Amino acid sequence: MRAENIKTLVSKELKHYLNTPPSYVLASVFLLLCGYFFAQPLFLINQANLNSLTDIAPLILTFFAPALSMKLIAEEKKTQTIEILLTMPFSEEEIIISKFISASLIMITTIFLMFTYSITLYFLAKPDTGHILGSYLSLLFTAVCFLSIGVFASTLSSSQINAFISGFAISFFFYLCGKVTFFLPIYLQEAANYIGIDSHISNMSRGVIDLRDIIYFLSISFIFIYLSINKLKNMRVR
Amino acid sequence: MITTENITKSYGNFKALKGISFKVPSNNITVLLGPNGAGKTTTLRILAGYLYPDYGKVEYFGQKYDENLEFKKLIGYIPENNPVYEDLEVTEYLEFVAKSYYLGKKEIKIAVERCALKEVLGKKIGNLSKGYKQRVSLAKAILHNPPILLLDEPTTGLDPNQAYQTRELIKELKKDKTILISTHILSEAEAICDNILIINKGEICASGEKESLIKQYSKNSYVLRFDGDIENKFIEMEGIKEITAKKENGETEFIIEFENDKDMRKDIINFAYEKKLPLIEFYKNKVTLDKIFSKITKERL
Repeated sequence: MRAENIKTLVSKELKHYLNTPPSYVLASVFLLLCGYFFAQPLFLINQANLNSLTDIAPLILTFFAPALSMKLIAEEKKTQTIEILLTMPFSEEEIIISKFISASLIMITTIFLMFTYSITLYFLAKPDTGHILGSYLSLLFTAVCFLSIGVFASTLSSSQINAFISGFAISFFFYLCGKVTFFLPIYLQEAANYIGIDSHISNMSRGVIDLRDIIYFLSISFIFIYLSINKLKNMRVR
Repeated sequence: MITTENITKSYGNFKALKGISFKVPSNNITVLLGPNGAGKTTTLRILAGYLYPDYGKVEYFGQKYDENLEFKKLIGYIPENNPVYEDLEVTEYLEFVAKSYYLGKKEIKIAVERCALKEVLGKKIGNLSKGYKQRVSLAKAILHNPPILLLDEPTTGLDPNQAYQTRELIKELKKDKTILISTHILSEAEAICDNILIINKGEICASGEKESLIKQYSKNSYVLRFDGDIENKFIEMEGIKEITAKKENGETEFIIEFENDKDMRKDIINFAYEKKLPLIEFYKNKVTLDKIFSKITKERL
């Protein structure tokens, strides 16, 4: 795997994102929705924190991340440009990782723009900086994790709609898993709690950066990136 | 030089290629000719490294093709239907291609000049005409100056002028390249190729130089047209294999085939003169590529 190749591919992918209006629409809708959930407790119950946002943002991300990543491979398959990419001197690993990085960069930029929300908190009150930074970090990890799922979903089909639905379904599974533990038998509760994204987010958003949570997010991303690479390789064997 | 040996490829239960072997010589244009679904695109996809064969091997200049990325630099490839990144500008796309091969602006400039793309450089590829899109793909394929060009139906969908320009450009490139073009357009194949590979139902049915293939399938046959209703007197000539006669619009046409390979033009003219036959048209019946193609592909049906 060559860094130079990844740089070339990331730059191309970013051009695709920046040359197409849906990327801007998607980012604006995400910021508006998050802005609403940020402002609601601030004005309704005078609370200067990000609790409401960190509660709802993962659910918004189950839509936003697959929507951002659905075209990455599915579009290339549909337009047959995947044939161009795979016959150029790039490996499958380079192609998948570059697509994941470029989508992550767009996501990170969008989340970075949300910092303006928390800056306003400092004008109005004295919020807990650890909680603010932890909340953003949890959002970033969740977003990147769901993006890796989105990339994988995009390799499954040549239809962007199918890729979106599959990406949403898998992401929603991880979102839901931690929320339904009390419906499960006791022996499954701990496992479901670990698989679900909820417990890991709540630790981070309290300002507690636990290595186990970071390993959890990185493992999920790694697994889905690995699956995506394998899927792309299998496509050539058929 | 491209050499393939016993390449087999199946999609589920369907055998797309049934152990094909062939050679594509250097500094030549070889045309892979076949009806739809014959296996042309699968062959080119395997040669370009997009698909892996189930069995068999591909060699480029005597070296076995493997998954090494360096091999991909030997090939310039235009896939079927000419896919392009429609939301990129021509410059952005060519810069991406150049960077992929660690090349600079000099190579982009050469490709742009060769493919006459200067006036559309700042335009989005999606807004270009089919002809320009084809040129953009050709510029992409030749930008890294590969010794091998694989072009899958490069003139499909182009108007006659655009198709002619593309063919001329390809002819120009053959000086220092091994070119393999797949097509089902026989006139294009006839106009452009030095060598022919005819593929049908996943098998190579005929291969060789265009001229020798035409010679192989040629018959010593002549077409004569006479004014009026003429009786068949040519039966008196020696060495006749077959005569077919057709009367139409007050004219009579004979197609005479001889058993030997001797040039019979003088004999025929003399015979017609002696018999005082009102000859109005006479020519040697040449075998065209479409006749060969039709004969070979129908034989295999």
